[in-house]
Amino acid sequence: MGSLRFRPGVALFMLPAFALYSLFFIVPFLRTMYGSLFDWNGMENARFIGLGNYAQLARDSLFLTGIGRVALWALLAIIFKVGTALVLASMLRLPIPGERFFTGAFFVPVVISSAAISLMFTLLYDPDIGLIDVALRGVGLGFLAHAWLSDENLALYAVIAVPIWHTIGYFFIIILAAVRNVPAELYEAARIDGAGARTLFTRITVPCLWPVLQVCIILAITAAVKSFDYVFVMTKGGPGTATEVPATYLFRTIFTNLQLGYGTAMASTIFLIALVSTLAFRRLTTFRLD
Amino acid sequence: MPSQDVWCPNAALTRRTLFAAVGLAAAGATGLLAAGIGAARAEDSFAPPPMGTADAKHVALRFATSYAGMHPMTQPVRAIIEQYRKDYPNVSVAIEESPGDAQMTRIKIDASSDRLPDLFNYWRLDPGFGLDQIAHAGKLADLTAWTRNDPFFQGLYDAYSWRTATLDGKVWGVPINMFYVEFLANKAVFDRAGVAVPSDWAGLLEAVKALKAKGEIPWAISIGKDSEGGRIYNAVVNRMVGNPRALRMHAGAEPIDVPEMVRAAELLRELVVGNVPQDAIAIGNDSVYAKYVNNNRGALIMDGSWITPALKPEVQANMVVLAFPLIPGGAETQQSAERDLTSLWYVSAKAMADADRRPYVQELVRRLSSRAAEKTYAEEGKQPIAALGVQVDPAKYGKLAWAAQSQALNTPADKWIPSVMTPARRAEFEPLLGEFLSGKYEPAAFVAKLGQIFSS
Amino acid sequence: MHGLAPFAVGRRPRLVARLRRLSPLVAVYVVLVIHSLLTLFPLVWVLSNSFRKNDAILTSMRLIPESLQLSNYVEMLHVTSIPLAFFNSFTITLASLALLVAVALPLSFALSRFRFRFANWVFMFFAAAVLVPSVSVLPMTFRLFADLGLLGTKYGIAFVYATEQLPVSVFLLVTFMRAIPQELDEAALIDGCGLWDLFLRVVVPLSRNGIVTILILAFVAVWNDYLTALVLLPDQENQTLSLALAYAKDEYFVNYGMMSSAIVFAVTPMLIVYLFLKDRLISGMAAGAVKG
Repeated sequence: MGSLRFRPGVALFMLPAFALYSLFFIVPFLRTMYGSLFDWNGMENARFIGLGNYAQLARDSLFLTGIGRVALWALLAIIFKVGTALVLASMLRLPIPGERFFTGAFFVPVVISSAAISLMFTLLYDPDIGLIDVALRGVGLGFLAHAWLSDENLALYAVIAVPIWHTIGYFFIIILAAVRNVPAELYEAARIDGAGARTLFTRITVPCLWPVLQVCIILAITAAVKSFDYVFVMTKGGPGTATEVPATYLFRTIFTNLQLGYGTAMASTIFLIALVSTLAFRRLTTFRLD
Repeated sequence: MPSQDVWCPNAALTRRTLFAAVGLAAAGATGLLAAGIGAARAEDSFAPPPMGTADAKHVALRFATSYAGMHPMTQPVRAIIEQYRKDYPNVSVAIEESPGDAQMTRIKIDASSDRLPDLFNYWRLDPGFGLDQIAHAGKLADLTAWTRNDPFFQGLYDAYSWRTATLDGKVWGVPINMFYVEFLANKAVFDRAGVAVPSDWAGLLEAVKALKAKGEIPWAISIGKDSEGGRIYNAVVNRMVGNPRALRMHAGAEPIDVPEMVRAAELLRELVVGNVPQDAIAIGNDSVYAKYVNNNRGALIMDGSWITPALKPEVQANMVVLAFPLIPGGAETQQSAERDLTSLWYVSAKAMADADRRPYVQELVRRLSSRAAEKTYAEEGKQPIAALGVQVDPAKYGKLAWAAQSQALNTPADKWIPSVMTPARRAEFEPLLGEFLSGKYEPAAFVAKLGQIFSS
Repeated sequence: MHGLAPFAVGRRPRLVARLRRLSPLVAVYVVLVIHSLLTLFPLVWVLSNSFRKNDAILTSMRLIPESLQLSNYVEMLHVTSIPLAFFNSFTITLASLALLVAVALPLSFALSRFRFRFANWVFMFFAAAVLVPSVSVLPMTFRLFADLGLLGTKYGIAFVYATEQLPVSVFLLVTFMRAIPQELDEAALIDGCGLWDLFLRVVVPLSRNGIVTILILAFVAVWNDYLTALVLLPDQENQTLSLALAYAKDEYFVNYGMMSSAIVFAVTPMLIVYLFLKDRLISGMAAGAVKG
């Protein structure tokens, strides 16, 4: 919240966004939520079953284990995506030689669609011709080479690594813009006081960036909960069901099984889980607009 | 083999006699259809609308297709549409393309908003593809009267095809292409290992062991979801309990947790587990063919007919077509092969009910299904076609594909087992089968898990 | 030239001292170079594959293609209308970004500069869309499109794209705008400078970094979207580049060579736009630094 007193004119500034968002998100969203109370395939008579879909969901082990996987995914995404992006961005706070190359290079993967990236990674993970195993053998680490996506215990990590690799650049751009917005004299003053690089990072960069980092962390969590195309393309949830996550399950339920009611109940549950974790995160980190 | 061959007249004959013997259900379906003949309406005249009349009433048609991009059917179908547009300047045909599986998403979303395209190609009416629900909801046109009474359709397809196009006693679709499962052996690999190409069940098990002992990969297949591993499962189960009973079991209409199934699982394990590429659970079709089959790695393939064009010509030359052997003590006593339609044309109920659109949609369907059209689908698109009596040049169709097709058409057809599964059951079945084929479960435990899926 | 600050170390006579002084910088470069390699290798491989055929791609890994044959590109141009798809992607993205900026800027201005009781609730209201998997809402969005008669139009989808990008953009813009000093706001308003002037003359120009950032991020998201476009843009003549990408794949086979060439098609213009915007971003930053 800002410092200016509210006046009626301000409402006009919010009106266009409010109108657009209400019509194109809130309306379909409420209809979706409403649909979760029905047994419904989208065409024939819907049968009202109250919370029946939710009751079924609470017993659906595929959905419940999927939530555990997504929690792991979100955790790894925060650590590696946001963490790496933060380190890289603070290294490039000042334009050092080669800075144009690095900022360009880090961003390139982001511009490729996730479906295409996923298809490419199915090949990169190939034990015979994949870049990863070929490189491992090349540097004498051949014993680490694996059929990554075939291994029940590794497949989930292999899948999670792809969105991390893919979107570090996204967070890098956000954090870079923010880190360069931090007034330079803060750093100068600290440096004069004899602070080292690590102190500058922990005492200035991170605290100054905290609002933006929080946005990034929330985005990392919600992306983990929502993204389905990586899993969908790379493993279709396999081997077995080792990489099945709620979002892929949801997509299948709605678009393959035509169980619109059950699928939207999943969507509402995912929404609630994401909402609660976001609120908890904000509460824990005392992030407020004011 | 003659250079020109009528499209399997013999096979068609054979099939008819076979159906007389085997196809009680088919006869039942035909009987139902026959009952509908009298229901033709007076306004159904099947003459094509007059051509070249730009001043005729304007009609807008929506044509949604997955024949787009790389799909081999794209060019033949596009050419027919182009000609149609020239002949009917008063009709605008809007083409809505969704390559591959995207077509399923599109059609389902369209149906749920009650704006199904006037004409579209789609998979069968199996529960797994969701079109059955769209038909039940009354969105799809009932084509029974038309297809029975329009002379155009006389003798164009056999009873098996019409049975697949039928649900609840009504015809919903016009057949386009079919598939069959082909069982191929790479002679070069067998020769390299000094193993004889098997001709019976015991020989097959022996050959797989001998190949493995020689360091060859016995099966060049994927065992992931909806993969070649499933084709072998189907074949073994069909041999063991017979296709009709297998279908009932996988539809949940009969217990599946029975000793015969445990036996089938044991044999399947002996045949497949450990005899596949190391990454078989994760790779897709393209990798199977590029990495293994096309490099003469892997001795046996069992897959749908659509894969034949993916084989390099020099590898095709190494291939011999086999019949999947009967299992001693199994229920099946006559060689059979999995075969069915893969795609059909469907019309929306609204288009069929609209007197303006109906004649133009019907004419478009006739053009897309004519023998001349089917000939281009076979020769240019390399697709196994459903129509009978089409003159196809085997050289253009491909020698190996032709041989495999002749083999498939001369044996009775088995229905694809997952076609009777509900989507939810199939979603549980496929990962389970993948896990079994990678050696995770004992046969009895696997069949017990099948019991849980198909009894609930 | 404060940009060279890390190098502005006094000249030391002894090499060791110099190295010790430089070692953090060396470490920085090591990290940056390793990360660049990790990032670029797969992409070089994609570029290489765009000149190769499936049989080659699926049997050997090469960062430099055997030969520079362009058949994948030719084929890609043949099976789908790339120039048209390119034009569509460009105009649809442009429309979406224009709409996004038009609604996100005033909202962020209101949320970041003014004190009112429900600000947090308004913020959370607009955050909700981030928490919902968009695939689940898609059937209802489609129905809404049908109800509004937007199906079959080319630019209707811009409303959905702008809506999807709104929450993230507002998150970021609010944080950026809050970083702009607020002390002068009240004075400016008392001096007869209207809300509109404060918004357009003060806040928007000073938020340039934030605006460029959200534009880049939204551009990427809109440009790459597949599923929404598949559902909401059924007409062939409205298809976008990411839909064209799907043409390299059918039910059973993926043409990886063609897929790679399609990626190169889609990525090259993005990179050009990005590099162009990034220069603006950096010059904007430099201006800020001089003032700062």
